[in-house]
Amino acid sequence: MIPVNVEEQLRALREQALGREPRPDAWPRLQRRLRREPTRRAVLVAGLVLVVLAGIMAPGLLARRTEQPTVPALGTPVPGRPEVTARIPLDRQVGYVAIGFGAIWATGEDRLVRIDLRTNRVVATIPIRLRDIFGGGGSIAFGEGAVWVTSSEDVVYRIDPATNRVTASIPLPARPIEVVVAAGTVWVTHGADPGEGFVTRIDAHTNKLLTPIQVPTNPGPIRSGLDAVWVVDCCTFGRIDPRRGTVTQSHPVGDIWAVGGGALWGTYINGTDESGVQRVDPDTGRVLARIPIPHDLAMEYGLGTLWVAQNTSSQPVSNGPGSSGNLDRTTPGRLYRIDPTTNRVLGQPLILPGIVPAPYLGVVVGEGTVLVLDFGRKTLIRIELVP
Amino acid sequence: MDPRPSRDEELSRLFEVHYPDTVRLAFYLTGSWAVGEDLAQEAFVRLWRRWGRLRDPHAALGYLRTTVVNLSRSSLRRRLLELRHQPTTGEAGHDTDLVAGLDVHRALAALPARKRACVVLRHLVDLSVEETAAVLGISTGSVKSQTHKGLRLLEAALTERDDRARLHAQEVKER
Repeated sequence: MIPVNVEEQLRALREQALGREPRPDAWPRLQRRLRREPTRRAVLVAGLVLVVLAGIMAPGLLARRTEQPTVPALGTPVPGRPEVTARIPLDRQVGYVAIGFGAIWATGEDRLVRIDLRTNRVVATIPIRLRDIFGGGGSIAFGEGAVWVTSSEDVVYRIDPATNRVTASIPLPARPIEVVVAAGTVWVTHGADPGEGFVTRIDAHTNKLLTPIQVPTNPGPIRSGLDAVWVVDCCTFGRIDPRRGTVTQSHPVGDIWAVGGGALWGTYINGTDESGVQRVDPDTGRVLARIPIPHDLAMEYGLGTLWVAQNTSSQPVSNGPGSSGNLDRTTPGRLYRIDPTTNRVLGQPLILPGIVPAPYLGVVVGEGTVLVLDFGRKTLIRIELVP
Repeated sequence: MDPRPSRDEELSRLFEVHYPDTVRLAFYLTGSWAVGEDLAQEAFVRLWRRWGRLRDPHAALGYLRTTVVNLSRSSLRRRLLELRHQPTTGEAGHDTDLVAGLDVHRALAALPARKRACVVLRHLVDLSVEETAAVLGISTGSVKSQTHKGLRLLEAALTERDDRARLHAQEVKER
């Protein structure tokens, strides 16, 4: 009789569960149930009262049944004060970072690193040929039970999060820039001929290329959200219906970086005086609000707010009195939360430790966690909301 | 103005942060991802109903876990029947809801409820002895002994299954 290593088997089971994600419609599903709650309560109360009072209270009960329940909306800020909870050092530069399947995933030189969100420790290093992480390699997306990573070798890798193994390597027609997954399809933008003006589509179930989509931009960034895929370049954004695979809108507004809270969010520069975040109506392309925040900005939507990381080592736009025009090496970076219901900065911005001076920053949000990436110092700063 | 976040805001935060873990806890306890999702939804609905009676909003996560553990007991009875009629791991093949950990799941499902909950909370959810005791409403001493016994029972069940499989393979070979 050979004894079985139970703890090992339990660990394997846990890894397997961490590789799975709840259904994407979990929140709407819960909202639907909560909407029915007052009705359910009213029915229970009505039954009880009917027995006791023989129908005397019937009109009141009917009124109660028609009450509109208060149901939490995802567009409202999740309460809490952002606090730095960890600094995760990495041994080399990272290209992209994303959060999914209970882990932080970071692409570096010829590898994908998986960091356990519970322990902040590297739990797997997956060798993949990325070659140039700033030249089209390393963009990460999650969907259809897999992790998808672009490589400057003109391929997209499919990785099984349950085993941390590459299960497919899908050749692309041109050098990729970024990847997203939406409606069972993997969408990739390209940065070189013949990829300019095209978005490559891959069927996530068969790993086969679908007919590419011609887009009215030369997109780099690609985002999904608000039931659409968004492609952006400097001066235009296009909206793609992910089910039909057609471009449904195009508007002359560029530099969109985040989608959420019913809006598109990007950066603006107003002459030489001012720069900051702008909120754009996804349907009309109209700028709905501007929130001045100087310096280069990185942003992502999550936890009911837009998170904006400020790179203070970049040159501010302002050349007014007191501005030397030189790089600021003394002011620490900050992290702002913008409330989509008011378009205002929520609370006090968080001073980012160790981000002085940061060559450039990134911010990602997922699974209740915010990460600010100090690429230059190879550190991930983890931020969570505390009561 | 009351500075405390409302029930809806708190629920929204809890959902964002803890829903996947709640599903996983239910999955460990029942062996089915789909059932796990249903139980997690039910636990959040119950929490929403009960919010006004929670002594402390910080107790919400503990309440969610306790609810899942309790709900899983009745759900597991149904699931056990299904498991008994499922093929063994090698034959499970393409059933995506029954994963490679089927043997562990079967063995877990066969444990008495409290031992199963202790093993899951301590070894799969990574709760401390104190946290596990709070979720189950038992003493820390009980958590330690139940976890230990649960692990030994699991080991015995899995070893026996391994031996049977080996014996079967040998018989087939000899034939």
